[in-house]
Amino acid sequence: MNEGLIDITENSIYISISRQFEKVLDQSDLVMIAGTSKDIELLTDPANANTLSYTNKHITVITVINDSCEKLKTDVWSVTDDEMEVLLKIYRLYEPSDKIVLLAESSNYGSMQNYVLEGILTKEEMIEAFIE
Amino acid sequence: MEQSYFNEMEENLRTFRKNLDNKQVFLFGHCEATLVLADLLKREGICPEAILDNSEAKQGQVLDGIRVISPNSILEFGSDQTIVLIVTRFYEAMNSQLRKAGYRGDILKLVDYNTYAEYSLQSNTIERKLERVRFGWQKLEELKTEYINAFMVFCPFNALGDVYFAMSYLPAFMKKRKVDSVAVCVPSNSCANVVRLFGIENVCVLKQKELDAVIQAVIYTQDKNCFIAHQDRPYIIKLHNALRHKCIPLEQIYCCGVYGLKSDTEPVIPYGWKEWADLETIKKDRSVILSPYAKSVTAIRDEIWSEITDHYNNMGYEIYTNVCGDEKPLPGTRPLSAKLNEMKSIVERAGTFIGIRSGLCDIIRTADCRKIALYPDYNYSDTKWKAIDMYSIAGFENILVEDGDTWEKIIRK
Repeated sequence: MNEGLIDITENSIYISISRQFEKVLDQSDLVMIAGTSKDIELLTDPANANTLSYTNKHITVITVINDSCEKLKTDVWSVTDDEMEVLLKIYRLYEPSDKIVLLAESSNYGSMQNYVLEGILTKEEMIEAFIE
Repeated sequence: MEQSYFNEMEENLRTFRKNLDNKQVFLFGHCEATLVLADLLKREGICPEAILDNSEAKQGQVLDGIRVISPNSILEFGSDQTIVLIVTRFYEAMNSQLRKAGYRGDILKLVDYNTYAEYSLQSNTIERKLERVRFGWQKLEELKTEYINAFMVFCPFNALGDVYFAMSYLPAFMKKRKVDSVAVCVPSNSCANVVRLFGIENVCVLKQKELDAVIQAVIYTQDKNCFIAHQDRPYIIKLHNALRHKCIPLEQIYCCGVYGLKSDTEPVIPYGWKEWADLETIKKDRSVILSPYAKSVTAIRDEIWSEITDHYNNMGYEIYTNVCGDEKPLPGTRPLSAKLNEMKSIVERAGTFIGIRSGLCDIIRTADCRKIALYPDYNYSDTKWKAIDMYSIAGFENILVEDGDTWEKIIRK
């Protein structure tokens, strides 16, 4: 059996996390899932942090990386590793809202980071594109 | 619009027909599918009141004979006097937007395009989606058994042009990923025929909802031996967002965005061509192949095609209409039905191809003949870019057809 086919409903925290997630989605215009330090570095880069603070959209960043959170000029939902795993599983299971952006790249599909690497977009343009 | 979706829309319209009585009918989302619905409604004697659209550029205009207004404008009409019909894949987002705005009238989804989305985090939704992923995962395991050791590539959407681009850059991507053997899964036989043009033997056709479930399983399990070769489906792929900021031609989206290749990567030219058996019946270099039909594009006026036919008739050309299934040849032309891999031989024999910009234009892009692609005046998806900016093809005369244009004016552009 593929170890990846984990049933998230067997995780005891999934109900509480999905309820919190529902609230966050309800209260936000955009929810950015920043699961790695690379994602947080991207968001806390001064140019991007400015873009995030000047938008009139209510943005919530979900992260397990708590050190740099104070640099983020958005709402932050700090979660544990377990909670992040449940959230990612939900988002990879289906689309519960069109407000969600998962910053992490994947080997399973293309991403805007490819445009940045190829010089088609800057990092700032990528963040703006996520927000628009 | 794909026939299966059209049938679903027609059937749902029949089922919910009574709901429309004595109501002002609004359609949400100005796109090809909505315009097909509008045509269907008009045939039923129902004139849509307006199209709701979030694009400020479109609001206030009359497009295709129907005024476009902001979604919130529906609140000016009574909820019990109105009904909203949706035939786009953004049903969930649109439904949510209207409800949040305070709209209490009926909102009907007439086509289920999007099996990936459900805007709920209730346990029963999650359980249902888990069931779908289990089904998808089982199908994926079956595919892996059939195509042992093959890297699996999925083309989620039934569009020939998308599959063409995906295949033309796939070899470079395989080299980058150090992959020797590949199997490609597509949602239709036509797409499978496009894949075969590139010499790929391992092609599998899955029904759309089955394919969606397999793709969801790939996303859920993050299977390292699988790749989804599309630029905006499903939901987790956000390449499309870049178009709100910049006009990136579709071919570059596939090369750089989808596959992460360098911009100067050369695409592979397809080579799985066959000569049409009845080639000799076409007058060499004195024939025209017309392609007026495209499922995901607003049609070009009949008058234009009529003028084209007259023009070439007067020059003594033989004129053919490329038809498929129930499609009818244009008046004054002969029908021509051939396989995709025969089309290159046909257009080269004829000498001239004139078609509405569609996937077929991508298929024959390397044909050695005069090729004209006509672009109806519409924006690509929900972006501010014109389709001609996104889809122009090298080697073609790419011509925008605007309101009031005649063939004489078009050919001089």
